[in-house]
Amino acid sequence: MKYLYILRLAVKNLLGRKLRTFLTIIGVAISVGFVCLLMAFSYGMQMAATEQIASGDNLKNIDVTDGSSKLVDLDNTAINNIREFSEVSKVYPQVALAGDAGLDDSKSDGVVYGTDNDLLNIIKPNMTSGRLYAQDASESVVLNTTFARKLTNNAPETLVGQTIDIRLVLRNDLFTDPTAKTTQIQSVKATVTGITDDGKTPYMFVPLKTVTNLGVDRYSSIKVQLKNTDSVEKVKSQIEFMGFKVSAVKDTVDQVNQFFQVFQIILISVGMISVIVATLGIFNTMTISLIEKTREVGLMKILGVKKIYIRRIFMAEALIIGLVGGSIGVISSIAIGQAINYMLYTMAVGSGNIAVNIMYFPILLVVLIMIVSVMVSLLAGLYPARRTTRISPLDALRYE
Amino acid sequence: MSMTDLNRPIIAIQGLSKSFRVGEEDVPVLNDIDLEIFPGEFVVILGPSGCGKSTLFNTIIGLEPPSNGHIKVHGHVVYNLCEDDRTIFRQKNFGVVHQQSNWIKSLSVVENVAFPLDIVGYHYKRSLERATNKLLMFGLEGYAKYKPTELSGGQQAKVAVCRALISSPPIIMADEPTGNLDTTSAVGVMNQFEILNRKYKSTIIMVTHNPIYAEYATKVVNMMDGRISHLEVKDLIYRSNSVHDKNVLVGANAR
Repeated sequence: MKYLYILRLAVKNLLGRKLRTFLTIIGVAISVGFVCLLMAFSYGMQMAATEQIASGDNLKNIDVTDGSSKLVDLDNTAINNIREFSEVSKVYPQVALAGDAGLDDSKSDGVVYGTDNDLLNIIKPNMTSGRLYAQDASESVVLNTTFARKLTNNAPETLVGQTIDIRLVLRNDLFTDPTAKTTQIQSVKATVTGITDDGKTPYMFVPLKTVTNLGVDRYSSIKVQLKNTDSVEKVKSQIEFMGFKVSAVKDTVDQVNQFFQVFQIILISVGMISVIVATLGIFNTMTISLIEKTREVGLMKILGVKKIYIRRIFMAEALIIGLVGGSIGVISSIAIGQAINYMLYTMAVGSGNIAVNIMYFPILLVVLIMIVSVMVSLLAGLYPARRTTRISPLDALRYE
Repeated sequence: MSMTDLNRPIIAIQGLSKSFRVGEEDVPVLNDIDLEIFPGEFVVILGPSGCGKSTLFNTIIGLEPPSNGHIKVHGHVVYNLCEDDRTIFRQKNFGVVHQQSNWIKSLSVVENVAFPLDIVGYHYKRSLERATNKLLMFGLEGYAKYKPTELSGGQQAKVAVCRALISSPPIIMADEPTGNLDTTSAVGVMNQFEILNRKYKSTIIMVTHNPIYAEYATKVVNMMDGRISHLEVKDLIYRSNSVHDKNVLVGANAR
């Protein structure tokens, strides 16, 4: 018997009892669609979460601090040593210190970051007005909105282009020279090039040399950019071995992913229940069909159909239910998922927020779900199909 | 056509016994049957109900293993084969018609007739063409697209004969093919068998309780209580004329 004929016969058998076939297929579709939606939700959340933490290149970065250790210095020597690693592509030092800024009579305290333009390009502060200062700039400053508001009486954008007075508190731990014991305060003037809206506490960025020119040679932190993400663990442990404290965005992302793996296992377990119900549905349909077809199976045997072909007819019916039900389930869950994404998008845009896709359907998920529905249908068809072997053609003739 | 050597039996039954176990007892149904059937014979196995004729029928087509003795078809001992091989053997050698017509319910009349061809992987479209031709022979072409159960009992019986003939089997096996039919339909079916036997030289084995049909036979096997009580081989010349006045014959015997 040709496979094509078996398929033809299976389709005709299924169409011969439309309502039952339809109900079973809908059962499979609902259960498969449900699992697909759950998984898509979990993938979507995971994507949204990891994207919030890190986008692309950030995964290649490692943050290094001295961890308040008195034993190691995060100074130029250390930076040069780290730069020597073959996996490292670039090193960005940063100094954080306390300070204040004044414009006319207004004055406010805040954090001052000695940060060069290239590091700012990695941090990517969200500029509301003006722009970042250039890599070789001096006497320039970028403030955040909170800071600028305090200096300008709630008109932060008017600050761009103005020159402000900055006082820097140089603690002695910013120097490697042990003789610099006392905390000094130094004043500089800088022109505001731009305003960023990030952060609730007041802070500003100034070019690194603004502070290094004052003798600062110990850095608060450095960002190490690697050539690729694979070497993060290795370089991390090497720098830790030097005595520094290291953190990588990748670690956080890994932790988030780990959390979502557990989350997914829980969702899969929930989904399994609905898949089991669907399997029982197929099983039920196939068993009833077997009982109905006792005569037919007997007839086939009398007419000369081998046992394996009769089994295949039953398996084909189960398979068709699984495939059609699975496809309907996957397609409708993608449709529902996209609708949810679209609704959230319009809502987010309407309220001025950033839209996040919480439903995400990777190809792998779709393929996996289809494989599951096929496997499940074959499993459900297996027992009824095997039972046909036991039907004697004579019993079939006597069966009324 | 080497298999249809006219002088060698196409079916040889030797010392065949069959008993069924009912509770604690063995109930004998067939008792030491010897029978040879030659190519081109129209054998009618005749007997009252319970004489074992249907059991003999099922044993011949390989559905009921004998308790003793053996059956050879074309020289092959049928029950030496495993179940699947017997199924294929049956498909190759026998066209089977039962009293109660059985159908693949989801298939139409023409698809049911074509089914034995599709079993062996025949080209689907051509199997339908051949089935349509067979229906044409029986004047049933107008019912090709119907479901078999929508047809009358007589029509169903004819369709069942079409199905039995479609793969041109060497032997046609019919168990009470006229059992459920009115006289006209029964005569129609019997005429077809007669034509097949006389014109196309098909070997036909038919089981019936109705002695009327003995008139169509070239060999009549009378059975009683699991034994062959009387074996009658009829005059071939007489038979060849009977095609033309079967209605008279049926009427005469019915009286």
